[in-house]
Amino acid sequence: MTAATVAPPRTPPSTSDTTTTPRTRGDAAPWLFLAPFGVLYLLFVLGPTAYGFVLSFFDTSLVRPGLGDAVGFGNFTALLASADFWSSLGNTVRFTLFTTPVLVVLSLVLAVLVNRVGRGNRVFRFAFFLPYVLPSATVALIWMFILTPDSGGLATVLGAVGVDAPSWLGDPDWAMQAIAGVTLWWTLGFNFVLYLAALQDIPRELYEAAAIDGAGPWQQTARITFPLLHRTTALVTALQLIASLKVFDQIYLMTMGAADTRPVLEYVYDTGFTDYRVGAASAASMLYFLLILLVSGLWLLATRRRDREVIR
Amino acid sequence: MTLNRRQALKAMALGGTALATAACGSPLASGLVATPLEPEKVAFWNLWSGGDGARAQQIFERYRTARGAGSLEATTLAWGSPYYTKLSLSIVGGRPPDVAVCHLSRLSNFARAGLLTELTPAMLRGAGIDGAQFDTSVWRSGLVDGRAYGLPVDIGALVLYYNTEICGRAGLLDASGRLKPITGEATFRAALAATREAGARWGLVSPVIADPSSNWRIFDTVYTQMGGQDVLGDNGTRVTMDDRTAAESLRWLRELTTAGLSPDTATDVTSVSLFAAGQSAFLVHGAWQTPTIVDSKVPFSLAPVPQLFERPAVFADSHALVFPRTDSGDGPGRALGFAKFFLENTDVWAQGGSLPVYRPVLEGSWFRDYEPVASTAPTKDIAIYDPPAWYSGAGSTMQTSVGAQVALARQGLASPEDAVRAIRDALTGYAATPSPL
Amino acid sequence: MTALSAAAPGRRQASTVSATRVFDTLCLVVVVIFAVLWVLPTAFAVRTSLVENTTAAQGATAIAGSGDLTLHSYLALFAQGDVLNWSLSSAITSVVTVVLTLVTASMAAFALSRLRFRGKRAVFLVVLAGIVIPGQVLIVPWFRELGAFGLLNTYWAVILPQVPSAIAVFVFKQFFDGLPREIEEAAVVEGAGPWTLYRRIVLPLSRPAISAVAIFTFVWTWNNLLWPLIAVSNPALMTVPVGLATVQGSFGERYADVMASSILGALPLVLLFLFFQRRIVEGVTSTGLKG
Repeated sequence: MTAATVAPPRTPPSTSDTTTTPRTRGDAAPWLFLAPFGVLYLLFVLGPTAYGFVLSFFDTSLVRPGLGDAVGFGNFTALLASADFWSSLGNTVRFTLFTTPVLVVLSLVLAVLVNRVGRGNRVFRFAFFLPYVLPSATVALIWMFILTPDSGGLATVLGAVGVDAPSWLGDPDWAMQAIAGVTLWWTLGFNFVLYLAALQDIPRELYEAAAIDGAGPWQQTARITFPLLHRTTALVTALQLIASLKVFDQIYLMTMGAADTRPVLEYVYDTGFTDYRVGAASAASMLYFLLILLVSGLWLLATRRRDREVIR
Repeated sequence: MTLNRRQALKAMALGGTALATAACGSPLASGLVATPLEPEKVAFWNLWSGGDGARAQQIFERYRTARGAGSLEATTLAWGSPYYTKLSLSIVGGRPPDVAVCHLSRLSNFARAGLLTELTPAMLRGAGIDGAQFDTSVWRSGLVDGRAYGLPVDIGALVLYYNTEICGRAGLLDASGRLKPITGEATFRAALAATREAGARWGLVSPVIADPSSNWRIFDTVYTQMGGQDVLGDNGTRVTMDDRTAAESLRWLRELTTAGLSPDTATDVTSVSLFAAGQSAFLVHGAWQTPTIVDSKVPFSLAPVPQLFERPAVFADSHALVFPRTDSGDGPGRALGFAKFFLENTDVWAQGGSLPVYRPVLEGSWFRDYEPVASTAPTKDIAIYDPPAWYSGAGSTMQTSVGAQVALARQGLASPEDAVRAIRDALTGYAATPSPL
Repeated sequence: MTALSAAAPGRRQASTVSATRVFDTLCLVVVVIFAVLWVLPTAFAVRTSLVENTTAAQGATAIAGSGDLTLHSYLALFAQGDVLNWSLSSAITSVVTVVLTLVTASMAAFALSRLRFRGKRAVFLVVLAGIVIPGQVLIVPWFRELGAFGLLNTYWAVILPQVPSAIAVFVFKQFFDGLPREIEEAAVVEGAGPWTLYRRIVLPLSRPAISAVAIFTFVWTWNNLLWPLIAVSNPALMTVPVGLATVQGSFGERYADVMASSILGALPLVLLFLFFQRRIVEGVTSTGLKG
C-alpha cells in the first residue's frame, strides 16, 4: 500500500539546488505528496458535503432509487416548524451546557492538584484516563446497570443514607443530568491529560521565585498556574464544545432519546435511517452543521479578541 | 516426471481452492473483499431477546440437529427500532439475512418499501406451505394488497400474569385454583387491594420506565376498552385520537400508582423480576415473558387481560417470517425450508407464552393441554393491532412518541391533559409528513 | 514529576512551609477521593462480571456482598465467539485506519510544511476548512456513496470515510514546522529529493507526533459508534461498540454476562493504554495539541 502510493515521487533527485528546500517549483512532487490525502478528502469530505447539501433540497427516500423530487426549501421549512427538531436541537445545547463548563473546570482542578501532589502521578493519570478508552457501549452498559432504579448501585448507596433515588434515565428532570454525569466520568480524562501536559511545561523556577517572594501555594496557583494555562483552557474549551455538540453515542445507548434527551444527531439518524427520509435528514444535518459553524465562529471571535496568538 | 508435476499442480490447485473456500466464509475475507459470508448457511435475524429467545434457541437446535450443525446462523438483535433500522439498512446495503422476523404491524411498510420478496403461490406450493394452514384472520392481516410477504408465527398479546399463592391468600381463586373472572375496573382495583392486604408489596407491576412500547401497549388497551377509536386514521394521514378518552385512560393508569397499588419505577426487566420475586400479585406484560417467569419458579398462571371498561380489547401483535429482497433474484429456497421447519416446531414456541397460529400446531392435542397459554386463547378474538401508518408498528416512531408521554403521565411528571396534547402534537407532525415509502 | 513541594524549603518562612504542607495534604485527599470515585464504576463492573448471573440479578448489595468468584461469563463469551469477532473487526478497521491516516496525513503535511508550490496557501485553507466539518454531518451522503460503490458491509465502509483527517494533517504540519531546517539542508545539498527527505529525515524525527496521532485515531476509531452502526449490518463484521449495542448475546437478566462482554470488548484498548500511557502525554506535549 505504502510503497505503491509513494513510488512516483522517487523520480531522479533534482540536482543542484540553491534554496534550502528541495527544488520543487513547477514540479509534480508536492501534488503527489498531497494526492493520497487529497483524493480521500475529496471523496469522503468535500464531495459528501456538497452531496448532502444537494440532497437537502430533495425528498429522497432511503428505499427508493434516485434523488426523488426536488422540494425547494420544503425540508427546511418543515424542520423549522417541527417541535421534534427544535427539541432535539435544544437537547444537544442543553447537554453541551451541562457538560462543557464542568468538564473544563473539573479537569483543570484535578490536573493542578495531581501536578501539585507530585507523587503517584501515574496512578492518578491511570484512574482518570481509563474511562476515556472504554467504548461508549461499555460505558453505557456499566452505567445503565449502576443507574437501575431500586436495585442499582447508586440507588443502593443513596438508599443507605436515606435518599430516595429518582429513576435516573426515565425521569425527564433527571435523564439529561444523569447522562451528563456519565459523560463527565467518561471523558474527563482527555481534558485532564491535555492540562497535565501543559502543566509540566511550566518552568519550576517560576514557582521557586514566587515562593521566595513569600507567595503561599494558593497564590502560586492563582498567579502562575492559571494565567499560564489560559491558552490550554481556550483549546480545551473549544474541543469540549465541539465534542459535546456531537453527542450521540451515550444517549442513543442509554435512553434511545426517551425522557427528553434525543440529541439532534439522533434526530438525523432516526429521520434518515429509521424513517427512511434521507432528504429531510440531510436538511437537518445542514442546519446542525450551521450550528457547529456558528459556535466555531463565535469561539474564534471571542478568543481572537482576547488573544490573537491562540489560533493563528 | 510429468506425472509428478501434474500431481503437484493438482495438489496445489486443490489446496488453493480449499484455502480460498476457507477464506471465503471467514468474516475477514467478507469484510475485506465482500465475499458472501458462509453461503451454505441460512442466516436468520430475530429480535427475540426475552424468554422467547430461549425457546427460539431450542427450535434452532432442532434444526441444526436435523440439517447439520453449520446449517443455520441465527442472530438476535436489540428489539424495536434498532432492529428494524438494521434490517432495512442491511437490505438497502445489499447484504441482508436470508430470512428475518418482522412484526405484522411492520410488515406492510416493509413490503411497500420494496424490501421484501413476495411469496408467490408457486413458491409456497414448492415449499409445501399453504395460507389455509394458518389462523385465517392472522393470515389475512399479513397480506399486502392480497399478496403474501411473510409467514405468521404467533399472536403475542398483553396478558395478565398472577401469583397463585398470593391470589389464593387474597381469595381471588376458584376451587380449581384458577383466577376468578374479573370484570370492571372497580372489581379489578378491589382485587389489587386485596392482594396487598394479603401481604403482597404491590398489587400490580408493569413496565413504566425506559420502555415506550410497553407503555403504548398498555395505553392502547385501556384507551380502546374505554371506547376510544384508533388514534390514527386514513393510513396515518389523520390523527383520530379521542383526546378526552385518552386523558381519561392516562388518569386511570396514574391512579393505580397514587393509590399505592402499582409502582411507577419498574422497567421492562425489573417489572418481570419484581413479579418473579413474588413481590407483586399481578404483572401485565407481553405473553412472551412466560419463560423467564417459569424459570424463576414463582407459582403463577396466565389469564387474558380482563375487560375493565365498556369494550373488550387487548393489544396484540404477531411475528412473521419474511424474506428480504435480494439483488441476485434467487428465490428464498432454503430459507423457506427453514421457515417451514420453524412453523412446524412452534409447539416449543407456545411454551414461550405466545399463541401459535400454524393450525397443525394450534389444533394439536399437545398444545390444548398446555393449560396456561391455551387459557389466553380468547385473547385472539379481541386483539387490536397498531393502526396502519408509515410510522406505526412495533418499536415505531408512533409507539415511541406516544409511549414516552404515557410514561410521563404514569409517573405523574405530566398531567394527563398535557400528555395527550403532546401526543397529538407529535402525531400531527408525522401525519402531515408525506410517506417516504 | 515537577515536585513543587521540594521548591527551596530552606529559605521559606516557617508559616509558609506549614501552610504548604496543609495545602498539599488537602490536595492529596481531594485527588484520592476523586480517583476512587473514578475507579469505582469500572471496579463494580469487573466485580459484577465475576459473579453468577443469579447473584447479579439480585442487585448491587448482593453483588458487593457476594463470595462468588467465577469466570463463567467469560468462558461462555469465548465459547460463543461474538465478542472475539467484533474485536477482530475493530482491530482491523482501527489498525488500517490508523496506518492510512498516518501515511496520507503526514505526506500531505510534509508538502504543506516543507515544499514550495503554487496554491499552497489555498490548499492549506481548504484542508483547514475540513476541521469544522464533522463526520457526523456526512453520514447520510456516506451511506449513499458507499452503497453506490458496493462497499457497504465491508471493513472498507468503516475505514475509508474515517481516513481523511484534517486535524491529523494540521497536527503533523504544526510539528513539521517546528523541526529545525538545518538538518535537512545538508541532505538537500547532497541531492536528496523530497521523498528521501520525508522518509529518511522528517519522519524519523516525528515519533511523538506519529504516536499522538496514532493513539488518538486508534481510540476514536475503535470507539466510534454512529458511522459503523450505519455502515455495517452483518453481525460477523460489526465492530465492538456496534456489536455491544445491537446484538443480544444472551437472554433474560444476565447482567454478569453483559458486564463481561462489555469489559472484554474494552480490554484491547485498556491494554494498549497501559502500554502507551507515557506516550499519550508525551505526544500531547510535543504536538502542540495543548494549545
